[in-house]
Amino acid sequence: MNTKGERVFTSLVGDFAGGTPVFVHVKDDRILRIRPIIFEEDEAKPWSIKVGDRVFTPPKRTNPAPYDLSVRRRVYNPKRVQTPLKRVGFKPGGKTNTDNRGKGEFVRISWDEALDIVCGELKRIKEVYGNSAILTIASGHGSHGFLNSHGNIQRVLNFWGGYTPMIRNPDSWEGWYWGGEHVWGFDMAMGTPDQVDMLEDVMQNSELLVFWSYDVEQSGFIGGQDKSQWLLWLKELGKKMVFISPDCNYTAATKGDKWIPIRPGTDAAMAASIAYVWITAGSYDKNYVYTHGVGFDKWKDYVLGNEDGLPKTPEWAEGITGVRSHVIKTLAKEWASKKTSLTIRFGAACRTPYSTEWARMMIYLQTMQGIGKPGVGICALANSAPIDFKIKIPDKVAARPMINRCARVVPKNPVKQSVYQTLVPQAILDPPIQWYGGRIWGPVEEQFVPFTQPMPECSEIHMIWWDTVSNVANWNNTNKWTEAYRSPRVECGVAQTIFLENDALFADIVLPVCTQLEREDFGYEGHPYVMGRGSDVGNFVAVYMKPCVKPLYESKSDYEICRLVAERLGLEKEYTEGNTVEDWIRGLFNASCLPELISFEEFKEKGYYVFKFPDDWERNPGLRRFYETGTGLKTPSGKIEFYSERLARNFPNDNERPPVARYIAEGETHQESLTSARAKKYPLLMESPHPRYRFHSQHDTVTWLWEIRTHKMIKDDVCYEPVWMNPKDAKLRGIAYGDLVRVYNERGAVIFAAHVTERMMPGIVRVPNGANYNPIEIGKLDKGGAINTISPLNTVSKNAFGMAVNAFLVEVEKWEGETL
Amino acid sequence: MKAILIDITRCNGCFNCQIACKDEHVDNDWAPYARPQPDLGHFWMRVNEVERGVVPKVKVSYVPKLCMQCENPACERTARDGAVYRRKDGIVIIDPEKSKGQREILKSCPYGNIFWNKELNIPQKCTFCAHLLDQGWKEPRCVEACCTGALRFGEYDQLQDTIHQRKAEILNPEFGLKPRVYYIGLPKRFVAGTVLCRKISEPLENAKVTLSNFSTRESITTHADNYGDFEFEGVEIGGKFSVLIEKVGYQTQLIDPVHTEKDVYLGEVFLLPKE
Repeated sequence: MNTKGERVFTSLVGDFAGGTPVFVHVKDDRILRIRPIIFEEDEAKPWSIKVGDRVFTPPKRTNPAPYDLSVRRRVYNPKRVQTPLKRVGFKPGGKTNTDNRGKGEFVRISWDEALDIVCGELKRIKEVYGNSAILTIASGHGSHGFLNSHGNIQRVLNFWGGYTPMIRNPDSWEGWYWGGEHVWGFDMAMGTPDQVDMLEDVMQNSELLVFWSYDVEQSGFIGGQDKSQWLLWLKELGKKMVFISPDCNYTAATKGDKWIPIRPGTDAAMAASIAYVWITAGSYDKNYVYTHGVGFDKWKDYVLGNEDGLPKTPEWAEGITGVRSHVIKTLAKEWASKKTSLTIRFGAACRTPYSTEWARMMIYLQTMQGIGKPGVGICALANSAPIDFKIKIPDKVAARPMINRCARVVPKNPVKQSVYQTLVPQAILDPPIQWYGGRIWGPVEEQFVPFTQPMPECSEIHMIWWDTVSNVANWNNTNKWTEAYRSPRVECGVAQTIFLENDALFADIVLPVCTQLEREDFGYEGHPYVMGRGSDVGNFVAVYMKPCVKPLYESKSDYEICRLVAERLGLEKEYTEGNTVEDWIRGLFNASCLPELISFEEFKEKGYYVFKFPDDWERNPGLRRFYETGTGLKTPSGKIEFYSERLARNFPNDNERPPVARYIAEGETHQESLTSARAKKYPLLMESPHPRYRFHSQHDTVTWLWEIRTHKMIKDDVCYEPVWMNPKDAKLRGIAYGDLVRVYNERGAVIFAAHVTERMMPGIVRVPNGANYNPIEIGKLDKGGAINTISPLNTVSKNAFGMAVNAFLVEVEKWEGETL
Repeated sequence: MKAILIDITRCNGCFNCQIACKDEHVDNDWAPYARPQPDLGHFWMRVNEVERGVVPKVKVSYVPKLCMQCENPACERTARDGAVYRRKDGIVIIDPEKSKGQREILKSCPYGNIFWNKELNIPQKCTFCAHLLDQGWKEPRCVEACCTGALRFGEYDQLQDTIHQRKAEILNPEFGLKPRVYYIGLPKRFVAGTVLCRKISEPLENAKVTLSNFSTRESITTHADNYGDFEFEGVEIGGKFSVLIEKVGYQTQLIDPVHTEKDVYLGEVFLLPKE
């Protein structure tokens, strides 16, 4: 329905990896409102799951997250970059002063001048240092749309001699990638298991759901709230839900049957003690671990203390984890006596120091219970819905930019070197860097391949092109990143960005990008091959994303900006292949099965197509086939490897990621345990999960979201990020609800407003990643709430180069400094 | 008579309803129904987060609150010059012209559902999106935005059966305003604890727990589960109770008084084995 004079367009709001199809009402070139798409009764046909004689089927609609619905406030936002900008004092030519980078001091310039400077610098850098001196930071979570996904500049540069790509680490999956893959493969999903048909399996067969470091109501918002509906089905079916988490998370608080508070970073200790209970009671599948696994005896030796003289009893675990030993014993007993789903998607516990150990133990534990048999799996719920594999559609993984999916010519990058994301500061400040490969979605064998940068005949980094990123709010010890960004060795920094925030603050030239509601594009939500091979929606929808309003101010689409750059470099024909924007969308349309179902004109006119689910389909739940055959995993043995021969061979003497998982409190790479010496000065552990009411940093500027309790706190018209604190810890420090506090360690300090709550266990504080950087003193003190400015710089462990940005030591004190 | 039925047991605290209301009314002018609301500070639909209990026994309920569209509205009585009127369908409208300067209207609502617009100098509140309903929309923005089915909108007659079956309540019946917003599952109080053996700190599964009400003398019983946990939910707010815990072979424990101004977690309760 629309009111008089309105037009209704369709778009897909949110992120490229997960967003929601919506209607956008427009009047006089102004967005009026954003709404879910409610399908006609006969237009949609979602899947159904039968449990006994009950049938569960999703409603015929899309289910926006709150940050999807508030997009109008994102489009019309004072932080939008309105015109191209030049940093005050910036001089192209390689000798610029960089002191004020990050302070947000810019002047407006014209597009012509901006593009002249940018292309001039590209040419100069190419001549002086070679193409490899250009670093593109162009990955992560951009706005939805194939044509304008991250990496358009990479397509241009590949026709022009190449560039050095920043390689993305498996940021949300770390422990699963660097650890889990060595246990059971699944490298196409970063070490997380197949999820297809698992929701049905859990609904039909599981009795108990153990949620370990997992909050469906938080991370599940990405891609729509469909999963929140499925949680209610599970409650209706009487499934018992237990939550192991430092905080009483949003799912636990509204639907949990029991909350087991646990200190972040200690989960591996609890896992080992559960195995101890099972082994000593014999309450595990004693055959399965030998028919379907290799090396179980070595795990058993560790657990029983045969190896180190220290049996991993629940009493031992209680001292480390804060979980009462009787609770551990009861959980272990219940888990073994029922058909239990270990419910995890990736979890904050996979982003701690030594996260490989917990992730591997999760697989060990469920293997001990016969993983793959009905009701017994590691199930994410959120992306475990049925999929119609007959649907053919260009996948979102692999190649960037996405238009390469239907380009005639996909140029290869002549530059051989790359820079690993977690090592960017070091690459700029103190090269060379070395790492073992760990490309997100890369094959597991890459983890044994050494890389170095600069490579022979390649250059150190002297120019950065940021393609809509916010590393400063989300990566490791970003106070170090800001130091790198301000280095004069970076002679020119170009930011292609919608908002003047985070990394863009450090640019020399800022190019204004428009949001997806201001451009034309193609998108979809719900098909597999993103985030672990399962669907995350009730209705799979492809969207012809309309330009709902004209680009605001002087902003342009990512595609168009790069086309203008290509033009100046003499490569417009190669970049565009003579295609208009509609031609590209038609190409993507034709690369799918949509032409068999709807004409292009109809698809464009209507704005979307909702696929109907078949009445029946072939089931392949999770690890069922493995359970039945005992082989077929992507490991050297084809089985689950409690003991990884490959890790032993490639990294002998690596006591931070040994062939068999163990609980590691601290080591040469990290001392973030309450038992570490540093804990005397920094006695609290910081839990930093993903946020609920924004998507990492996206939507942090949307004011309407600031009024959501637990998400932000507005004091005297200033918006603060909250830090959750237990009342005991707050009282000890003289901190009352709403007080401004300083959270700090050696790496710097961040100011928050205290959200004193019983949802936080004592000794632990909580701040999700993503709050926008707002420095009082760059590199030292932030008031935006960007906790990652002070998270650990070091990676997961010495040979695992993922980030460890959760479970680190801090102290908190009342802020007595200047009024902010 | 238009009414809204809210099922707290289905609400996941996504705040879509609160956001959708902003989306409809911030920077959008729907005169004569409503003028635009300011960017921040107004909550014509507000989600209240209710945190209950202490570590590790914690629950959160979310209670959406909007104009109750009272049959007996205090705002209409307080307003001058017909600035507030009630439509045939029950929706109460504050006229954005006539209500200029009438701060008394702001203070008249005991539910706190009216807000002052400083810039326009008028009181404002939820209109059940009357401007949309009049154009044929099925439901207000907040209800449409709800993804879990926690919000339902319709004629009172259609919702009546569910209201009675699910024992839906209204907020503050003592105000006597006859609101048209009904709630299923409004949080009350719980009394919970964990029963363990004093000697070996193991849970005492099946320990019998009896909650007795001092004033009514009524008792209810439950049993501790495998963790030793027990819970009485839906307990009267501000009551006075005693809790009796018994298990064969153990000395009985009586805990009293137990006051339910707040939710009660008795913590770990140890029973001594009988000699």
